[in-house]
Amino acid sequence: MPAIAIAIAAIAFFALPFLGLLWRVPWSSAWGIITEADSRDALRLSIECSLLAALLSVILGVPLAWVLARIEFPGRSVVRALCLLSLVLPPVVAGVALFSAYGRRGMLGAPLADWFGVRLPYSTAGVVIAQTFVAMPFLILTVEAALRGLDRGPEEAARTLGATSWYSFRRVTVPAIRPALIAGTVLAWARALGEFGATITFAGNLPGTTQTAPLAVYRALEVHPDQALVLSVVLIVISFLVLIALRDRWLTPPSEQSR
Amino acid sequence: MTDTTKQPIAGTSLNAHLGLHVGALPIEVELHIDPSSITAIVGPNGAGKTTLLRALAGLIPLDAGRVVLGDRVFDDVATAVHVPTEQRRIGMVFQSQRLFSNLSVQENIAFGQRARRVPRNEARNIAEHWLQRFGLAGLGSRLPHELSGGQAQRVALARALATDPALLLLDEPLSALDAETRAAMRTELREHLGNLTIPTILVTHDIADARAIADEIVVLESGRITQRGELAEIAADPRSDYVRELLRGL
Repeated sequence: MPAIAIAIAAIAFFALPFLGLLWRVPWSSAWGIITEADSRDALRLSIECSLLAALLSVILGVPLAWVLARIEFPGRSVVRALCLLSLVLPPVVAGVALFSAYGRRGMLGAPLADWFGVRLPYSTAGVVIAQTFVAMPFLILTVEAALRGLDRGPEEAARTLGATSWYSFRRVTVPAIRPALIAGTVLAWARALGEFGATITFAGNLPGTTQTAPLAVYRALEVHPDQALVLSVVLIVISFLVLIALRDRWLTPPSEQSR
Repeated sequence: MTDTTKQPIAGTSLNAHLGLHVGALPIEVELHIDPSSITAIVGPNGAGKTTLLRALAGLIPLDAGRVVLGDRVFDDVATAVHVPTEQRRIGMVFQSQRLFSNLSVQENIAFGQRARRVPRNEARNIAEHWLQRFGLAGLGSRLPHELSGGQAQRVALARALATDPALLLLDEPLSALDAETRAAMRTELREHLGNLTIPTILVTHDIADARAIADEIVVLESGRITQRGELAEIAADPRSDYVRELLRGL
């Protein structure tokens, strides 16, 4: 079967880089490297910022997806394209755009700094914003598609039973799109965890403040290659575990699970 | 056929004059339904039966007309009144039941009470009462996909009635069932609906449903009422080919 042979080649294509990485890792000193202060800071910052970015993506992205899926208004496709732009943009361009808006002399950055003393660039909040900016489209795409494909019948039934649209959204719509919501959140989170270009452009690479694990890997490649390898393995393990845990369990509708 | 032993509650009759469109077909219908009275709307596919029901529920807007239940104005196009569905206090049973697949049978029945902020325990007790009444005792913890067609239809009706509606709308409630269940459910439905003191509308394309359940029959063809009255009156003087064909099914 040529298909199987090609599939094996494709699997090897994905597996070999990781095997190569594992082969190079200095296992005997790995734990020592992970517990070094700057490694710990970078990993902690990565986890915290990516979780915040995922949360922010859900809070902003679910209502946005609902509006895009359910409300017809002129220019809807333009608005949708705008909200998904950062998905296809080179992340460094996203970073430049964020800088132009929120930078010290940016359109919003200048008044924010002058009036409120808020400076987003080169801050941890800036990292979260950069990550959310590039990660949220994954959630919007997934949730909007689910909302569009959803049978509206149960929502109508809920309204006849006296449910407000918010009550029906919480108890009928959200459970029905739960698999998509979870998948979208995890995709957004994974994108935030791996985010590099927008972060380094907008928030810089300051250890302890804005240096997330991918940025630390980049920095370490020049000065401390072993640390780069070990941090890479940690990122791979985290991502791999999440993907395995996701498997089908959360990705299938509840009604099919019990069958 | 009208049951005189029922106690009609003054002021809850339905008065509706509906003008609307389904696609290019204009619908123009007047309905007057007394409390405790069951009206069957029969008609061929595409006559506008379901659209009519959805308009009464407030799920689609009217082009013209008025819908008044008792002293409550649900719709009045002239004065731009449109009460949203969730504030109408109606009960609706859909052809495909539309149960909430993620909620248990009991939670489905309690849904309307919970949506109106009735405390959880009280809503559960009310649901339990309806489960008993519909012969569903013991099935409260099941999920909808674990029910038979007849059971699911009972849950859908119990769910609608548990909200204590002022108007009951039934859209082809029996047509999703197999023939055997259907006959049994028809009798059962007649018993449950017969005790109600609210106007009830049953949409069906089966004259046997109408005969078993309804007090009055309204024939809807291409968006217009072509004939109305008790079955005997209609049978005595069928006014269209459709009605003649329909009566052959008895």
